Amino acid sequence: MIRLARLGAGMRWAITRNALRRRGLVVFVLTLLGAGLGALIGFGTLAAAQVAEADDRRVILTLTCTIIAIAWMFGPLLIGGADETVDPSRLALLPLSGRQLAAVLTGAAVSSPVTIALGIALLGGVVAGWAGPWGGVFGGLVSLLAMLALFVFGLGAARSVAALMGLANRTRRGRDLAVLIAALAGVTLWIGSQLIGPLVQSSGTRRGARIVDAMAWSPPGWAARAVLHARAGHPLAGLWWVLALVPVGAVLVWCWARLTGRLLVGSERHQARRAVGTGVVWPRATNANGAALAKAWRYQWRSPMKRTQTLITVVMSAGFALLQVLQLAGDEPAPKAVFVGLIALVFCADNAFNVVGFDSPSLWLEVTAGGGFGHNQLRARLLAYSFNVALAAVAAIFAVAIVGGVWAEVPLALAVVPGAVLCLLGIGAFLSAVAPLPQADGDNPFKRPAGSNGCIYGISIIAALVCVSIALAPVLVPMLAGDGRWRYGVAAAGTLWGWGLWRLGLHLADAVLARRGPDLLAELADRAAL
Amino acid sequence: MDLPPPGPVDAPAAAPVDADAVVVAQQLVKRFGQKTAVDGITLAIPHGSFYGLVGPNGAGKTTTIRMMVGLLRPDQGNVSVLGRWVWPQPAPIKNDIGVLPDDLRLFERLTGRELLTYLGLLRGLERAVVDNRTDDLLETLGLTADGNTLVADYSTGMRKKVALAAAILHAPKVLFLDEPFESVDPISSRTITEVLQGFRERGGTVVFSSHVMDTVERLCDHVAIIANGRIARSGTIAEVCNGKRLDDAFVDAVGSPASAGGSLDWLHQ
Repeated sequence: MIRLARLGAGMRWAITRNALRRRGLVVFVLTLLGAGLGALIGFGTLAAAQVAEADDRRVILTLTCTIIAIAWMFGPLLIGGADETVDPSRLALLPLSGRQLAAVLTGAAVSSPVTIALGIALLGGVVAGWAGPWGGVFGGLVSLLAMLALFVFGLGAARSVAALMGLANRTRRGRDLAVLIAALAGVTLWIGSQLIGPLVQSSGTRRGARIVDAMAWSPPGWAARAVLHARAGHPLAGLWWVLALVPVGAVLVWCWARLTGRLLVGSERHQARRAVGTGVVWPRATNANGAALAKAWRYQWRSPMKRTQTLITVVMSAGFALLQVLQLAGDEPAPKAVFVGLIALVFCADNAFNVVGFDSPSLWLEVTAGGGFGHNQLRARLLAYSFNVALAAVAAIFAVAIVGGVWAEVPLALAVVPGAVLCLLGIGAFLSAVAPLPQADGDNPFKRPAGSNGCIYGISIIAALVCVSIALAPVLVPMLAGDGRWRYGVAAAGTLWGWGLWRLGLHLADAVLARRGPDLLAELADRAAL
Repeated sequence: MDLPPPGPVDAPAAAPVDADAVVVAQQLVKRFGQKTAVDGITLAIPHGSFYGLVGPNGAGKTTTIRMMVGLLRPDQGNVSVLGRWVWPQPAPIKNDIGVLPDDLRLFERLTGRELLTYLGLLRGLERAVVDNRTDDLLETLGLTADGNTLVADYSTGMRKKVALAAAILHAPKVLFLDEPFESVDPISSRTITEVLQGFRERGGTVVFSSHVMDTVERLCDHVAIIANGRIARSGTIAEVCNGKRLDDAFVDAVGSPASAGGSLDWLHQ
């Protein structure tokens, strides 16, 4: 068993090393530095509870333990998918029993750089529970056991979630559900991390206390309770919380083993072929523009990655907007807070600015069929995506209105949305033609474009977002600075302004595409997108 | 041959003993939702044979092979390989078989050499044995120069070859190959063919599925034609072909497409 676990660990390290090397030395160093920094921050935050006031210590330990556990569970899904050792189907051909396979996968799981970083971070909890040189030994031991139990819990939970997602990814509905869960978890994690500071400051308030109390009843919260008891000089009371956490961790590890077994046998991805069309091609396209739009609209819903984009942008936009309200820690938001819903433009920028690069192999077919570069494809892709942007913005506006209880400015904020969407997509049209990044469509909804182009792409997005902000300023400044119904006129003018930018963006994009046509196609070749 | 009655998947009776057959499939059934992919396939594959499974797209070839090698649990029926039931415990049989699946799920971020090394070690082979066999296989399959390249950077043909190397690294007795020649260039195809013929000459049994009738006719001594999840014909090549070419026998067994009446007149205007 130990030999197999060592082999699993060795394989995991080889995969990590090769993956990072392939993405360049800079990425390799940055990843290692990131893991190291994350470990230090986690360790430092937990260890800081040692010297904090009793109330603050409770908040710090409870929030940090919970956030570490959630990050562990859902982090891999949010940063581009779990590693190859999660899905045991690659080992399905080997004559390994369930226990042997578990040994290999455990070896791989505990030796991941992220797991090691999380393990180091949790050692901060041992420091936090240390109550002094003599009586503190038992307390330190209880804290160590609590962190070990939390480690097993985190490992079991993370691998169970990953295995569950692996199973879910085998069906269309399951994939959507997986994306939704990952997006919601990501938003929760993000909001939680942003709220640590305000909650520490406002833990005396009812809202802050309620959130911390709720987290303290979760299994990671039990680990925090154990450390708190140990620090307070009651290690025996802490031990009971450890004993409560151990079986939960054991159950999760058992779940992981069971799910692994299900991934291993019946790894058949072939499902019964399902007719999804009615036989009528809708809308009844009579020309190339209509056909392009019909195709783009279908892809908006049938492509796993497109659906992922929609779900993630809606959830992230609403989550970020909500964060602005929650951070007020007790103060009521102003009615104009609903305009923060336009933050959806930021979350949609990544995709709006790369409509040419996305699924570039299919562009080959479309261009070949069209005989020219097919600017109608660009329009169609952007128009289909406009629904996504508008949906995300509207969801974010309503999220703020519902949670904040502010409805007065909602109609105005909604009136601004069309102009803002057109503005984003107009600039997106131009940028998509100038600097597309090959990104293959596929079954893995979490796959993101990678490589050295990613950095240039990121800088382009930031520059374009600055352009969008400048372009929207003439509309948003009067909205936020003034009051009265005249602002509806501004919103209408903003729509016209957005329409103008949309037309200009398309015109410039057409010019670029016409000039770069064949070269751009070669740049976006199938193999480059892999 | 006479087969015992099919055993239920979860409680197998004694595996069938047949000195001549190395793989025996009994009344295999697999359903996906409303669709029955495999509908009662019974098959006996003789020892030392080169056995081809042919059939139209979606006929159930891949599903049948997956059930035979322990990758997909049958809804009904069972399979015995080398006198042992595959289900419900498929792990032990994997010591004696090698599999080249259709969807090549390999460790993309390992090099070809690392992939073979880790898989060999995980199979329990000694390190020295693994190293020797890895060198041999990479050389035979023309992958020595690319041994330190990531699998993710391999072409389709190279991926097939390294997957074949992984399938035979532990010197199995039976090889199951799902579409081994699909998307493979003629040079790689010839290399794979030579490796498979060598394997068979040393006493191994090869079971493979293919769409390419010429290849099946040239390589195989036995063949089964699968259509709509059932065996339409099976036996030696001579028995199945009955004096005709295999592709003609195939069309006879499967039938011509019903929509062949379309004329495409507009194409010639």
